[in-house]
Amino acid sequence: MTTDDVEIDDIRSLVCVQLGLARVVDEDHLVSDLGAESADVVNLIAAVEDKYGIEIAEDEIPDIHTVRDLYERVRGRR
Amino acid sequence: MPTPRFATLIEMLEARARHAGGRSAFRFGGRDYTFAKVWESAERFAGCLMEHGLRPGDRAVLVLPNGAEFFTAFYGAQRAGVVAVPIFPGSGAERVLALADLCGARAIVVASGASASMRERLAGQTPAANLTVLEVADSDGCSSEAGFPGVEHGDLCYIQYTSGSTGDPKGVRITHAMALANVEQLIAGMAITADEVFVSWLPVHHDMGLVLKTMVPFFLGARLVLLPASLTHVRRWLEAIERHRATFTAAPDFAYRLCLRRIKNPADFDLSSLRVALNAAEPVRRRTVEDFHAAFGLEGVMVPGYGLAEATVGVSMWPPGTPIEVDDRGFVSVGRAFPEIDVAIVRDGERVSVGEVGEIVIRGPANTAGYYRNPRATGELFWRDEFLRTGDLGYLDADRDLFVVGREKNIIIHGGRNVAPREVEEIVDRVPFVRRSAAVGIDRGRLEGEQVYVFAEVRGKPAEDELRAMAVGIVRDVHGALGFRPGRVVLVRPRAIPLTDNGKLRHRALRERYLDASLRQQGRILFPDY
Repeated sequence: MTTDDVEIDDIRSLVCVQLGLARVVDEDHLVSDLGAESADVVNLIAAVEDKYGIEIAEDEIPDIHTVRDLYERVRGRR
Repeated sequence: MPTPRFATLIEMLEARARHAGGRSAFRFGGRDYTFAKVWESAERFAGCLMEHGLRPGDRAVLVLPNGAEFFTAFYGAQRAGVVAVPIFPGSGAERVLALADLCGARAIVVASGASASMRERLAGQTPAANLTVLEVADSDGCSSEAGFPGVEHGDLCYIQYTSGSTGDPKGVRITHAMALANVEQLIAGMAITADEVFVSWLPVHHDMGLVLKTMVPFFLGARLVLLPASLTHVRRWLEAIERHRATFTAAPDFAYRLCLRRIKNPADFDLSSLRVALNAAEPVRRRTVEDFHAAFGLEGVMVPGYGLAEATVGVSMWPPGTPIEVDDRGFVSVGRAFPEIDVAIVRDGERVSVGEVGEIVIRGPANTAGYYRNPRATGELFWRDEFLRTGDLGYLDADRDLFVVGREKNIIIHGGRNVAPREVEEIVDRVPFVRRSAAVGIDRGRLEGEQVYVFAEVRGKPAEDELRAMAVGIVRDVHGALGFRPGRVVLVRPRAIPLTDNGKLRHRALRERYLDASLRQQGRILFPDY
C-alpha cells in the first residue's frame, strides 16, 4: 500500500484504537480534545509508522496537532 | 545518626509556621501559600477528620492532585495522628476502593467539588462499612481547637502503594523517623541549603515528588514552586525554572527527553540558575544527559540518581558539578550512596566482588520495616534481616559508585512509574472474549522510553470491526483504571502467549517473539495488521 491510498477514515480508526475512543472527527486536537498524553502521541506515531512503513522524525511530531494533521503527514503533504 | 532536628513532620511544619509563618511554603497556580496558612488549614482538616471519627492510626486515602489541598490533607492527617495513604489521583473508582480496602481505610479524601462524582463512582461498588468520602473543603467549618493526639518519632506517617512483581499493590510503611532520616540524607548528600529554589511538577502523591520536592524544602524553609503534575505543556516547567531562577529540579529521564523534542529553540530559555537537575526514577540514558547539557548550554547540572519507595525515596546520586561516569556497556552511574546508607550487591545469597552484577540491597535508617498488612511480601523483602532487597540488578565499581543495569522482575517502568504486568492483565482479563492476557514493556528507542504493550488472546473468530472494538475497549478500560494508555494492544490467537510448564506467563519470551516478528510470521496476530 502506498501512502497515496490512505483514506482519512483509516487514520481516524487508528486514532480510535490507540486512544480507546469510539469515534473522532478530523479537527479533533489530539491533546486538548482527545486527552492524549505525550506518550500516547508517540505511540500513535509509532502505529502509523508501522502500518504505512514510513518514518516520522522527532522534530515533526510537535507539528502534528489534529487527526487531520496526522493524515496530511501520512499522505506526505506536510 | 545525629539527633534529628524534628521528631515528626508535624513538629517540622509547626516550627516553620511559628518562626517563619509569613514565609511562602510553596507557590502554586500563581499564588503563594504561607507556612502559617498551611499549618492552619492542616489543623482544621485534622479537626475535621477527628469529627468524622478518625482516630490515631486510622488510614485516610488521599486522592488529590498537586495543589494546596494535598498539603492540607496530608499534614492534616499527620496532625490527627492519621496515616495518610496518598495515591495516584487519576485512579479509577475500583482502584481507589481496592487500595482503601487493602489498608482498611476509614476515609477517602478527594478534591473540593469532587465528592459527588466520587460517591457516584463508588455507588456501584461495595465499600466497607464506615468508610466516608470527604472533600478537603468539608473542613471549612471545622475547629482547629481540638485536642490533638501526641505523635511520636516512630509512628507510621504514610503508606506508599507500589506495584510488586506480582501486581498486588504493596503498601510501603513509612514512619516520621524514616521520612525525616531520608530528608536529612538528601540534604546532606546533595548539599541542599535554605537558599535553594525548587521547581517541581512531580506528582506529590509519590515518593520523589513528596519527599524530595516538598518535605525537603519545607524542612529547610527553602522556596518551592509547584506545578501541576502534567507534561502536556513541558515549556511551563522550563519557563518556571527561568522565571523563578530555580536551582533544583528533578524528573525521570523521559521528561528531559521530552524537553529536547518539544523545545525547538532551547536558546530561548535561560536555565543557568540550575545547580541540580536530578534524573531519577527511570533508567538514565547517557544521551539525555549529554544532549540536555548541550541544548541548554549547561554543564554538570543533570545528575543521575537512584532510589525506591521502600527506602523512603533517595539512595544515591552522582555529585553535581562533575562529569557523569558511563561504563563500557553504556550504563550511567547513579553515584555513591547517601550518608548512613550501605549498598551491597548480592547473588545466590552471598555478596559478590567488585564489578560483578547482582541484586542491589541496601541498609539505612530510611528503609521501611515492611509492607502494610502483608507479612508474606515483607518476609521476602530483606536479605540477612537488615538489607532491603531492591529487585534491581547492578554492580559497584572500585570507587563504590553504583551502576544499575536492569531489573530482576518483570516490572515495566512507564513514565517514571512502576507498572506490574499483573495490574494491567487483571483489567484486560475481564474484557469479554479475552481468554488470557500479558503486558510487557517495550522500548522502541523513542523518547518516551518503555511502553506497556498488551497482548490478549481472543476467543472465537471475531470479525475485523469486532476486533477493533475489542482493542478500543481494552485501551479504555486500562486508561480508566490505571490512568495511562497501553502503547499498543495486540490481539492474538489462543495459545499465542507462551507459558511455563506450571502455567505462568513467560513475559520475556513473549516480548522476544513479538520483537523478532515470529508471532506475526506464524500468523498468531489477529489485530492489528501492523
